[in-house]
Amino acid sequence: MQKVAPSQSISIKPRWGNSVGRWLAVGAIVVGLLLPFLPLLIWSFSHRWYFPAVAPTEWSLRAWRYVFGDNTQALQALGYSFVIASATTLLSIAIGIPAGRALGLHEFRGKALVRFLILAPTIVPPLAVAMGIHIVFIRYGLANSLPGVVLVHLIPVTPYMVLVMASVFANYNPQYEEQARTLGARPWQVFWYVTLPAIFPGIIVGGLFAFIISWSEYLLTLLIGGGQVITLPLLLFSFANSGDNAITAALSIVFIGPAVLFLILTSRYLTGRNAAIGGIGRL
Amino acid sequence: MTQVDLQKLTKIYPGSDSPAVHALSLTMPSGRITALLGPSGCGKTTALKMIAGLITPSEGNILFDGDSIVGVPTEKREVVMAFQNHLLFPHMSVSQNVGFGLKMRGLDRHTIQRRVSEMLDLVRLPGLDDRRPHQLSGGQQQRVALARALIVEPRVLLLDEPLSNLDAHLRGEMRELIHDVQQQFKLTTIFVTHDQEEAVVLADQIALLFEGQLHQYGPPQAFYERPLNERVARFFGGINFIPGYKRGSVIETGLGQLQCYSAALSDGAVVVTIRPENVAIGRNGSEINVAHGRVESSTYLGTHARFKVSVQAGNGHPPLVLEVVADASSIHLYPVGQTVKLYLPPEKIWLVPAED
Repeated sequence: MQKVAPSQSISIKPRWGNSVGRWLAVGAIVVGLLLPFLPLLIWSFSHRWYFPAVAPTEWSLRAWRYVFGDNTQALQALGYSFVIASATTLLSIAIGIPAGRALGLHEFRGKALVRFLILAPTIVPPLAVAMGIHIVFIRYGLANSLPGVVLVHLIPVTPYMVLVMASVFANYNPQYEEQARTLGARPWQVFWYVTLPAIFPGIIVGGLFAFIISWSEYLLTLLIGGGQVITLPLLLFSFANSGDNAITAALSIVFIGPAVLFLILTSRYLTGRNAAIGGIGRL
Repeated sequence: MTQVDLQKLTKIYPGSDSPAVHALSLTMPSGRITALLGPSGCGKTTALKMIAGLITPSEGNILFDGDSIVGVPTEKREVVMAFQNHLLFPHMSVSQNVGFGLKMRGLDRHTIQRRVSEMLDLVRLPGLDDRRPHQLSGGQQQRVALARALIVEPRVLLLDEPLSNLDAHLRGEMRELIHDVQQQFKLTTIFVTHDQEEAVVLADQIALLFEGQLHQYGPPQAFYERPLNERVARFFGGINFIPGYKRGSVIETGLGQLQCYSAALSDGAVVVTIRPENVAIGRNGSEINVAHGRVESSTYLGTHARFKVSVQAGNGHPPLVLEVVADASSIHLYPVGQTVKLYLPPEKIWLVPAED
């Protein structure tokens, strides 16, 4: 039974040492996480910036015009990346809920083997698997296509989704479903009104993993997409290779944007009590 | 008003040798409270879940007013089960919890709201609509669970250990509430418990199960006055069991000859039993069914006193120990070591079959 946390009756004044420690921690976070973006931002507006200049000698909006301009691949790649990551996430949720339920709630013969096989893609080099899959995909007409890329992205994404959902269901009491059924709820109503709200934080956490993994996938997209499906990482790499630092920097910022946005939108599910449900502990 | 019939209901779980419920046949009268009683693991909860439709029977049938409901899915059985741990949906408010069953049936919001507040009044919890389950006490949670079950007007109400999660003073209150509500709705109610006291105070009929098998079914008094075997008697606090041999109305025992009015068993080896509160201690006057013994220990229990008296049995038998419950003041009359006279009234003696 849960109890409401008692309101604190004694307020403890933070000691001086504590507050210094806190500011040091905040400082470290700012320096460690945000500072690396500063050079990116500067690079994206630079036109000429050679050693040993501290700042660019000439500034320009060229990179940003390219990213948001017409007739460029950047917006198209952004669209591809978004569609692929979203589709991969939704599919992995559809796989992760039943698979996580089976692993988290039930004991069955060969459970350890199933768990190992689900984890395998995180251990086996993706290149080894992708070559074989490529041949199969060519046969079924999935190579060089968007559905093919979505399917191949499920390989690295599914293990995380299933493991998160398994830990959600390990803490889940299926008696709530029995209770709902005796109260007259049909199977879909049980899922919608009882199961889904209970596992929702886990879906968000798993979905965040899935989205970010798919969003940043390079190798599998390159192999299965066959140059037809150009996502943001592919575009980013080609500019990085060609040495265009300004556009690379601008694309990097665009690339990071959605991930950070999703993280912020879902942060309330990642912290506090829900985090334990999500299986990643308190952040 | 629904009569529930169980016909040779059997459940064998996969991988298990012995059935959890074995050929259970019971007729549970319409509009009454029936208790399924037994120690944990006796199959009583399995039986309850089979009635609810949450477990599929391996064999046998369940009838509601003569119609089999075995093929009917849980949500269409109109049977509501209230679980032991209340299981209030944590993401819903109290009123959403209570209104859940009506919402599933597609009723409109205003009707649900009206019925929910009526129901919260009935379980004496008005004004808690917007609370969350975790803000309620255990007793309040149980009332909400009861309201949520009653609001759908089920044909049969199933309760899993309805009083066991509550402390003593709440139990009495809850017992009254369940009783009042059941009377008001004339609801066929079946509940499961491991506590014979709980069964006795709440049920009209008790079915006692051991290892999935029905041992006795009847009104509560029958379990005290006319237990069918030693195990039933022991479960209901019987403690005095004296082996004997019955010839007509006389039983030869280690205490000597005992007269007895019970004619339930034929002549032969039997076990004589008498409840500790029915043994009279230190009374003069009677000539038959009398034994003399030594007080071995005594316990003062406030409202009464409990004695252990050992009686020398004849013919080389080991001494018999009888437990006696008497008036609290008698604790001073019979100190440990004193020899006392025990009287076993013939009308209070009951016979059960001798165990092999």
